[in-house]
Amino acid sequence: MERDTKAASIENRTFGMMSRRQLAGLSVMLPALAAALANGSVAAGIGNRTAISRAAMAQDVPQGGELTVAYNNPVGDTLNQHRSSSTSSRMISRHVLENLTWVDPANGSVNPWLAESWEISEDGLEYVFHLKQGVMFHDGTPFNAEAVKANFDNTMDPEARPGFTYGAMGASAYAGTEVVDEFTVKVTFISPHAAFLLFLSDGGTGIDSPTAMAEAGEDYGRTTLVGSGPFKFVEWIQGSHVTLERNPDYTGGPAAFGFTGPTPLDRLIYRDVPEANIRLQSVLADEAQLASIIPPNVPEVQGQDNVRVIATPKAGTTRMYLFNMNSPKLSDMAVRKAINMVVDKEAMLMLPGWAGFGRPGIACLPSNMVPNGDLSSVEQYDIPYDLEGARALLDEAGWVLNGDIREKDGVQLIFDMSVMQSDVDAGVIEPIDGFLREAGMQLNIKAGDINYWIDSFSNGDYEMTLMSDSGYVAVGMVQEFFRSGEPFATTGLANAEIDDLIDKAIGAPTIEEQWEYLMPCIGLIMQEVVGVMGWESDNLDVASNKLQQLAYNEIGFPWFYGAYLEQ
Amino acid sequence: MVGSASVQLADQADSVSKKAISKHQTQMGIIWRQLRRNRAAMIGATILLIEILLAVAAPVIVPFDPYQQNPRAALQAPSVEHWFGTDDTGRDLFSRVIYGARISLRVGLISVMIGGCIGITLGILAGYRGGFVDNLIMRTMDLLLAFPGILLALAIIAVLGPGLFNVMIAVGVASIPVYTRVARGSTLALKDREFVLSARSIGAGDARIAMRHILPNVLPPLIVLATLGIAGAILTAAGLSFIGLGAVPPTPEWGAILTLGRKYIYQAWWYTTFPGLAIMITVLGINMLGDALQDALDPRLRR
Repeated sequence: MERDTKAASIENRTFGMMSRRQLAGLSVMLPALAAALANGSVAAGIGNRTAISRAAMAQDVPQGGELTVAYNNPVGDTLNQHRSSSTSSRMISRHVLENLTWVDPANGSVNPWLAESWEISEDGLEYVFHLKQGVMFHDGTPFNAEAVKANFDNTMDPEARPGFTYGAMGASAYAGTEVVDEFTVKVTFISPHAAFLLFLSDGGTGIDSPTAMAEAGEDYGRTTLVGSGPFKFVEWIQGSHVTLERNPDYTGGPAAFGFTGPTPLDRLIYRDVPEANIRLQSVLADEAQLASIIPPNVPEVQGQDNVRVIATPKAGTTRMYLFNMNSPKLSDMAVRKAINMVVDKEAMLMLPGWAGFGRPGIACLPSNMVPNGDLSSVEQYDIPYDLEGARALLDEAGWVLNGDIREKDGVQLIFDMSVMQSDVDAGVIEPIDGFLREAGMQLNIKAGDINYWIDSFSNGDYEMTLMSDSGYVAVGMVQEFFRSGEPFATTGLANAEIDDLIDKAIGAPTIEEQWEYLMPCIGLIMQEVVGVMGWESDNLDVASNKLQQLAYNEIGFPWFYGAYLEQ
Repeated sequence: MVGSASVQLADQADSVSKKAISKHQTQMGIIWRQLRRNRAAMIGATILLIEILLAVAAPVIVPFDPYQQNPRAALQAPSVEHWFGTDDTGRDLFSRVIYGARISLRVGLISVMIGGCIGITLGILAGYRGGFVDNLIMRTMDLLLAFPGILLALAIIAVLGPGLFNVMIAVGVASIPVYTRVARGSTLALKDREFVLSARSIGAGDARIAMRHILPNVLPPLIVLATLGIAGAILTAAGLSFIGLGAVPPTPEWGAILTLGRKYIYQAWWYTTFPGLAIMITVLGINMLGDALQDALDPRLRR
């Protein structure tokens, strides 16, 4: 299980993919990026950090072929990004829609795409975008300022159900969008939204054809999806697959990406395959050319010469075993601390459920998401493994052993752990139960599908859960789970000082200033012991060696523009 | 006076019925002799007996706590220390499989008890009362029989939620129609027999007749059904656990161990092999005994 033994078959991200160091680089770039934003200009090679070299993309590559991707997270709700909350939906839509900006995952720089340039007011409240001309949506509708306004208005429609993009657009900070002329649009905010340009690169903020949106109405994102990107939408059969096909007329592509014109692949099929072994086998049998896998699958791939494993540090939160502090048991700080003390993270990461991938979690954000990968200012609040200490702490707090389980006033230390079945299957839940048993505690594992898990979490119907989110805007993820009043902030944490720091970070005009508030805020969250900060995880994919020139976007999802299949 | 005469008459009827039961007891002797001569029955009974002994003595027999993890000993192949190897958290699989016998046998027995008690009661009621009650019960059973058993169990789990106890209820409820049908058929054949008519003529109530005269006489075929039902219930419960709807981890239920082991099937064959064998041997043993019981109870097959 030594990491070194895998080196031969596990690919470090090269072009367009993030190694752990590179991803750390992305967050390192953020303060510098913020400075550039404040100056009204953003370009590659920000700051004093050496730009990460990019391999040249070959333009003259084999054309055609059908690429099948086996993935484990079905779209679920809709491909309409104005309403969707699904990460998979954003990942897929990114191929059909184009964005105003493009974040280069290699160095964190924000680059022009549908917006050729932009200016930002000194107070960070106004963004003026100069749009690319001559772009047509797949249905023939011309791309212009009206189209951008129609998209942003649709996202922020107060009557409609908000999706991921509502938050990406600044939520209540957003004031409105105004057409300045045919190819100039102005977006204004009530308070600064420092991460706006980063969010504009996300699949969720891709620009749809306003004509198609109006014509399809409620069916938009289910029966049709029309953008201006390198792939056209063909069909979405819910629970089965999404099919996209090549847009032969495509001339775009972010200049900084290094590939232009039509994409080589004829068709791209995302197939929902919930079982990890089947996903892996489908790649080994060449029924799919890329699949997401789990660490237990890795040993089987080793020694296979037709496939490779691609490990990408996950952009997002740490994988946290969060507590619901509204539970009487978990309202006791001694219990929360003791749970942390019994979880031996180093030993846990060597279990087959992790197979040596990932790093012990310290804070709610992993080291690859904070500037310079530096969590030293909050490490003092990390609770180290100390089984004897945990037993003593529980004894002291009056939780005494009665048989195998500790109890106090008739209440036993058995915690309802509400999780997704896929996490149980992946083997990352049971070990926690094993650690707890060492100190007279237990889990009552309640597993279900993604809807069960989301419902139980958003309704606060859990005592413990395994939680994480994907993203690259740190303040948004901290706000999401720990700012009291937020829909997903159900841990029972109510700390005015934390709320104040999050609010100040959100209102900061630059990302550099955001971190001045965010890091102390993370420290305070750790002192509240809101959960076990489990591990900093890696996304694992297995790819056929036929699949070449595979890129990954800024949140670690594969992006198939420019990818090709060797004949 | 009338009351005491009626009780005396009822007691006489009981003795008539007891004679019928005693005849059955003689029959039980014949059946036992039949079973002893049947090698498959003896093998099945031995398997079941060993399994029951293992289940009862599990805390004494097993070398390790079935819940005790040992991260440094994960996925170890079978050895002198770990006879069945270890799982992905380093737990001893032999201990877990032995403890699994307790769970599987309990699931089988309780499911059958749930299905049998409700099904037999409804069957006797339908057969004995006839008319509207019969129609109502049997049409409801027809409705339940229209669903494959596993589908019905899945629907019940969907309502009740996953968990071992809910699996027992689901599997038990799904088996009710089978017991009802057999019990009703036997009741229809018995309800006009002399000992029932005489009991009725001397004033025995319906409940007394059902409990003391009909029930003992409809039991033999139902015992066969229940025996085979235990095997079916163990399989169904393991299947439900395998798809994540039954026992939840870390419960050492065989189906649940199988589902956790399937992702390691290429690197740790022992993880799925031993719980799989445990299910197979148990179901085989129970089925062998059940088949032999069926033969022994069928007069046409007696030699």
